[in-house]
Amino acid sequence: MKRPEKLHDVMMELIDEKYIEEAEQAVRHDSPSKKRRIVLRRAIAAAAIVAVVASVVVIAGEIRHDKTYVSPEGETVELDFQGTEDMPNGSFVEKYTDQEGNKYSFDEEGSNTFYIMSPERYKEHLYRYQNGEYDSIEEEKADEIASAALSAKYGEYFDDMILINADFDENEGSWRLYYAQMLGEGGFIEGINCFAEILDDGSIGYLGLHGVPEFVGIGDDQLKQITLEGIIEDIEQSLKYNYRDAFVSFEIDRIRLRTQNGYYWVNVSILPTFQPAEIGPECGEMQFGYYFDK
Amino acid sequence: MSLEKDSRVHREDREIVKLFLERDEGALREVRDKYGSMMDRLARNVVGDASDAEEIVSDALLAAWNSIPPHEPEKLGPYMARLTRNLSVDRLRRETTAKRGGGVADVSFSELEECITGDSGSVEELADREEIARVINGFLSEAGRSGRVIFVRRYWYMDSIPDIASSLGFTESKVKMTLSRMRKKLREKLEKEGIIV
Repeated sequence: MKRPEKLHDVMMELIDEKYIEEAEQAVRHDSPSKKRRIVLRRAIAAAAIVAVVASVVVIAGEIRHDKTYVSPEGETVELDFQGTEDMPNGSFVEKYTDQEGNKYSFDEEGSNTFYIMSPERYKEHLYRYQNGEYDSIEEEKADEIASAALSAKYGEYFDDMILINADFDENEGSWRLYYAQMLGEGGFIEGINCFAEILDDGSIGYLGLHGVPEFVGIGDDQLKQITLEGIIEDIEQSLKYNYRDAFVSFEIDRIRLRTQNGYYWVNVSILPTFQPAEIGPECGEMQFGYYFDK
Repeated sequence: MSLEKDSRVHREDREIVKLFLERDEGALREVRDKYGSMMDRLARNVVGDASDAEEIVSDALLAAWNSIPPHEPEKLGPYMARLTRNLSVDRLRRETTAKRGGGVADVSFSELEECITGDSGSVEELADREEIARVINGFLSEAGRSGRVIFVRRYWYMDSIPDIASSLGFTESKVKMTLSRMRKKLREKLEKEGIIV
C-alpha cells in the first residue's frame, strides 16, 4: 500500500529550484567569507577601535571622517571619532559624531549586529503619565528610555510587565520586531511609557510594572542573566524573577552611564576589512544599514 | 567522497546538458565532478550510510541519463539535487524504522512534521499541490535570505544543525532559533492560507 503523502514531505518536494540552488550556493560560496567574517569578528571589533584611534592620532589636525554609515537605501553619513569610554565590565565604547552633531557610540558587542538605532527618532513617541496627565518626558529621559529599548534586542510587552530580552542573538528580525511591537503604528507604545515611568520614579516595581532585562541563550532552559556586578551567569528559568530587581538596576545604571554624556549607544557592525561592494548588498537585502572604516 | 570544493574548472550546465542530449557518456563524468560531493552529502544526510549514499548517487546519475532527454534542465544543480533527494527519501522509506531511527533525516522530518501537528497530514484531504507550492514558496520568498538558506539546508538538504552553523558561519544557537521561528511562521502561514486548520 502506498504510503500516504505527508504535508511536510509534499512541501519539500514543491520547493522552487531557485531556493534549492540558493541554499547550495550559500554553502559553496558564502562559506569562506562567512567563516572569515565570524573568525574575524571579535578581532576586527578590537582592531578597528585601535586602528581608528591610531589614524586619528597620526593625522591629527586634518579633516577626516573615520567611519561611514550606509543606510539600506544607500544614504551615507560620515562619522568622526571622538574618543572612547571605559565601561564597568572592562569593555569600552567608541564615540562618534556626524556632521550635524548627532552623537553615536558603539560597543564591542556591536560587531555582531547590523543595526543603527537612534533614540532621536523615537522621542516624539515617548511621554509619561503623571497626576492624571500625559506629559512629554525630559530630554535625558528620552535618551535613557529609548536606549533601554535599544539595549535590548528583543522584548515583549505584557499587561503587567515589559520583558526585555537582551539575547546576544544575530537574528535580524528580533530587533525590528521589538521596535514594531513597542514603537510602530499600533504597537505597544504604552510599554515604553511604562518603562519611562519606572525610570522616572526610580523604583523598580512602580505601579506593579517591571522591566526584566535578561540574557537568553538557546531557550528558556538555558538562560544567561546578568548580575549587578555585570557577571553573566547561567541561571535556572525559575530563578529569573528573583533577580528581577538586580537586573533592572544593572540595566538602568548601564544605560545611564552610556548616555550621561549625551552619546547614543547603537548596535552596529564595524567591518573595516569588508568593502561596501562586498558587504553592502547583503546588508541592504536584509534592510540593514552598515558602517565601515575609512 | 571529499566534501572539499573542487578547484577544477567545471563546464557550464548547458554544455553538460548538451552532452546528455548527444548521448555522450562524458556528461555523467562532468556531473559527478561538478555535483558529486553535493549529491553524496545529501544522500548521506538522508540515509546515513556511505555505501547506500554511493549507490544513490549512481542511481541519480542513471536517472539523469534516462530523463535527459526528454527533460532539458536549465540548471543541473537543483535537478541533480532533486533526483538525489527523491531517491534517498524513497530508499529511506524502504528501510526499517530501526535503521533510520536517530538519523539526521529522521530528526529533520520530525521537526517539520511537528510544525504542522494537528492536521490530518494527508494532502489529498487538504489542498492541491499547486496551492501548497504557492504557499511554501511564498513563505520562502518572504523570509530573509539567511533564514531561507538555513530552512532549506535543514529540511531540504537535511543538514545537521552543527553542519549548517559551520558551513554558514553562524552559531548553533542562531541556527536553532532561526529554525524555531521559521517553523512557527510557516505554521501560521499554513493556517492563514487554510492549508491546515
